[in-house]
Amino acid sequence: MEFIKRLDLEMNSKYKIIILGITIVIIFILFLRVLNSNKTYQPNQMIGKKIPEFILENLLNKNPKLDSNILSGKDFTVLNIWASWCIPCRIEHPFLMDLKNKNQIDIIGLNYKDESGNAKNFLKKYGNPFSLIGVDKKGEVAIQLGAYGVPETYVLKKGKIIFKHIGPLNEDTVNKILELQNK
Amino acid sequence: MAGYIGNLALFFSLIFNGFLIFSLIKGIRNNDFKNSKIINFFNNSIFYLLLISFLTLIYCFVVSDFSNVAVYQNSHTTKPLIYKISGAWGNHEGSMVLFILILSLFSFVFARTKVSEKLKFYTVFFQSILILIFLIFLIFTSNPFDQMDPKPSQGLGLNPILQDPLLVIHPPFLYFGYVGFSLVFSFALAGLVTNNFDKSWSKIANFWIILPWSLLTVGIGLGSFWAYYELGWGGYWFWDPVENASLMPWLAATALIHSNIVTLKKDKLHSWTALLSIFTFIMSLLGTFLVRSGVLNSVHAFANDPYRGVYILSTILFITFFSLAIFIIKSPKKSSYGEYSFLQKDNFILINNCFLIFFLSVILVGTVYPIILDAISGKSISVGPVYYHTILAPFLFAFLFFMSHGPLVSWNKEDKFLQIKNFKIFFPISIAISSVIIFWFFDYKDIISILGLLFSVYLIISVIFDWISQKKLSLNFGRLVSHLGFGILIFSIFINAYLSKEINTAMKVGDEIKIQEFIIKFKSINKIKKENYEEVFGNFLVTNKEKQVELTPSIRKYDQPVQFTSETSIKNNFIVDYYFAINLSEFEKDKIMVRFYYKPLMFWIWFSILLIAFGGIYQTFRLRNE
Amino acid sequence: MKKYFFIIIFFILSSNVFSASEELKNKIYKNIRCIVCQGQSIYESNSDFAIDLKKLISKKLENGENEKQIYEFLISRYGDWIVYNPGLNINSLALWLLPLIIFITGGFLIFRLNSKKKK
Repeated sequence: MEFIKRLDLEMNSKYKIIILGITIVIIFILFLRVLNSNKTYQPNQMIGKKIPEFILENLLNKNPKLDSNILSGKDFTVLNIWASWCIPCRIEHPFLMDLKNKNQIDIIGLNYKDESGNAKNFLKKYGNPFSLIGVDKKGEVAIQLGAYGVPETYVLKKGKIIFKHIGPLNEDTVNKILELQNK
Repeated sequence: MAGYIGNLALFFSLIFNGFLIFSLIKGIRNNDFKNSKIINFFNNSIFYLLLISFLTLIYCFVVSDFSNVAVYQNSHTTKPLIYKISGAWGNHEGSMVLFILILSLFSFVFARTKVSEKLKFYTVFFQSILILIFLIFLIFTSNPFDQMDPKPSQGLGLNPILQDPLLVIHPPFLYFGYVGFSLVFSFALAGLVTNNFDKSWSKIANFWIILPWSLLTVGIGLGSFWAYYELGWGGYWFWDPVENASLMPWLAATALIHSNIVTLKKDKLHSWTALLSIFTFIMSLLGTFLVRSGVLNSVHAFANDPYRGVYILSTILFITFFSLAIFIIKSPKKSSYGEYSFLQKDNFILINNCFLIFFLSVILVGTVYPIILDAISGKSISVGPVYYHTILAPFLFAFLFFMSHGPLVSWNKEDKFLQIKNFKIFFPISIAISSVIIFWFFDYKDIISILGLLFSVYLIISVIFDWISQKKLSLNFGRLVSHLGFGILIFSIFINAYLSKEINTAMKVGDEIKIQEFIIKFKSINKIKKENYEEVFGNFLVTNKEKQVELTPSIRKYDQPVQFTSETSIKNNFIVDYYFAINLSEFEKDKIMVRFYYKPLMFWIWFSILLIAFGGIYQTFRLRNE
Repeated sequence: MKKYFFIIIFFILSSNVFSASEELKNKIYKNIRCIVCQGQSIYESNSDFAIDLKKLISKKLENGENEKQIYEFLISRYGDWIVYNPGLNINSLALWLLPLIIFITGGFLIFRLNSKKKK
């Protein structure tokens, strides 16, 4: 084995190989991080910003309308974007019910691109955790909020967005929400 | 049953490969490099076993054996036969079998060529290590013969967009390219390790570089052509990460072809050629990783699986480290410079080599940067076409200039005189032709496109001049055709980019609209019903001054699963493509969305890619017959 | 006659305006990523989200907003990723600088190689 016999390398080569080795390891670690990271795009641009202004019709009653000013007035509130046609929304629904019944958290709903009839049936069937529901028929307000699908959940303190979760709620996110309330 | 045979064949090829490597190491230890019967036996058997494995996989697809997971996920009984067959290599596991088969094929053929014993020995050695690594990866993490129980009665794989004749041949061409570079990779490592990296190495390597390069050129062209007529948006290149992943090895290989010629003719640039030989295959591997690992967001990406990604990543980094380590330790020290001056062919080639590597690094940065940024800071940005156009286009004209004069200057003397004489002829002619084009068609002054246009014309003229002054055409025919193709390609791309027109609007039957210089009339619709889809055709008449073109784009509704596709209607001649597509409208219920594109010189874009590949293929045949 | 003259002028002008804003609309659509799709712009996508964004952008253009304002609006809500053209900002600094550095380094190396050879 000629090339292994030649292990009395020049100093130059040894250094180069060490640098090569270190570079490879760094690349490996970097890409490993990428491979293990969360695949859904979680834009957190809106965190820290005040909720944009909007007014939406109320799903269940004529008044009050869902006005962003109402949200600014509340100390702590959860805003949940949902739709009757959205299956993960059905899965996360019990978490919302718990937040309202067990923890007395104020939850506002944003009904996204839905048929009002279907939405009302959904609530009748699975329960209504929302103190107020706005109808975003065209999805325009959701875009204003920086959402791109359902379900998405925001946590607001006096109208300022302090937390955002994309996808259905789970135990971890519920705990996070409760933590934020106690701060 | 067939699945078991295939799986068994894979296992045996792994075992035989082990034996092969063992025998090769024994030979190296004993300084005995004779191509013994045992080694030949193993090398040949591995190829035959892998071939059997691949064919049995195809068989499983053809008979719709849904107990095989890969067949279940990617096929369907109602698929036409040709797509059942191509389904075998249209999925991750099957394409990896093809990958390894090609590794083995190149080794199989190489072992039969006339090469010095020692070099051949080591080349087969390194190639079989590659085969070993990928076989282990295949058998233990992505086995195409995985079974499932109970056997489903129907498969999942019925995406109509993927049922296209071009998509049948696009992957094989790409693979023969990508994977084909493995041989010059192994050959280079062999040359380094045996201190035989010189002119004679280059003479042999020439064939093994140009052949995969030509096939890769065709593969990229096919993919681009498919995107053009299938996706329906008039575009043919999107700087999508997967597209970039195929372009990077192509650029490296182009640099390698030319660097190798310098080593062949002048016995110079040994280190650089060796490095490029290794680097080209590493770029192929990088492409493999990017596409299959799940790090990319792209319409092309295979089904994402992070575990698989870790295995591929480790494999590739392992191969990268050891090959580069060998290069560092054994990089050829000799380099004869002798006489030197600026206006020499080898210097021009070196300069353009640097440009090619620069282009490659820009594309590499653009593709990989968002991934790295995300990994480090969690922030995401997108790198779109504007980035690549902004950075690459300005350098193109310099590249074209050196490409024009390189072939015309001599290897040895400083041809200053010849230089200026040629320049005096080409430049005025190019300016004249370009000015006519610009004055006639362009309505604004964009210096970059003007330069690009000017120098692509310059290149074409210089090739014609070179062609005419050839004493023995066959000697340089390959180079002339490929260079001409490249000049026409750049020319067509620029013209197409600046003179393309598009019209996007909503129409209902009977509407006639006039936009820019076009009148579009929506004459009628007609429906047909086929086996697995219903199709609605829109009959349109486009009038452009005196010219009238009838186009019939359609929308198809497939039933299993319910899916809508838009089929384009393209009428073309040598000058321009009239391209039409329709979509259902979300905005207005009684109208449909209509897209019309006027695309000049599209034919020349495809034809020039064929020219580039043809030049390479001609050269490979000429080399083979020497 | 004057009436017809003005109508014709108006028609010609407005069709030019129409095509200019159509071009701009398409240009913007091609530059916005459809973030629920795999590697497509909203121009190429017919997904719900893409269509919603197209409607929104169309409305904003009609309201007189310019290209920059529209990108700013979308970036403020969805982050840099939604725009295909990487503008020059803190995140993309290395992206734009790297090619420059590579070019200069390459040029420098060739220069050194050339002058070394000349000896």
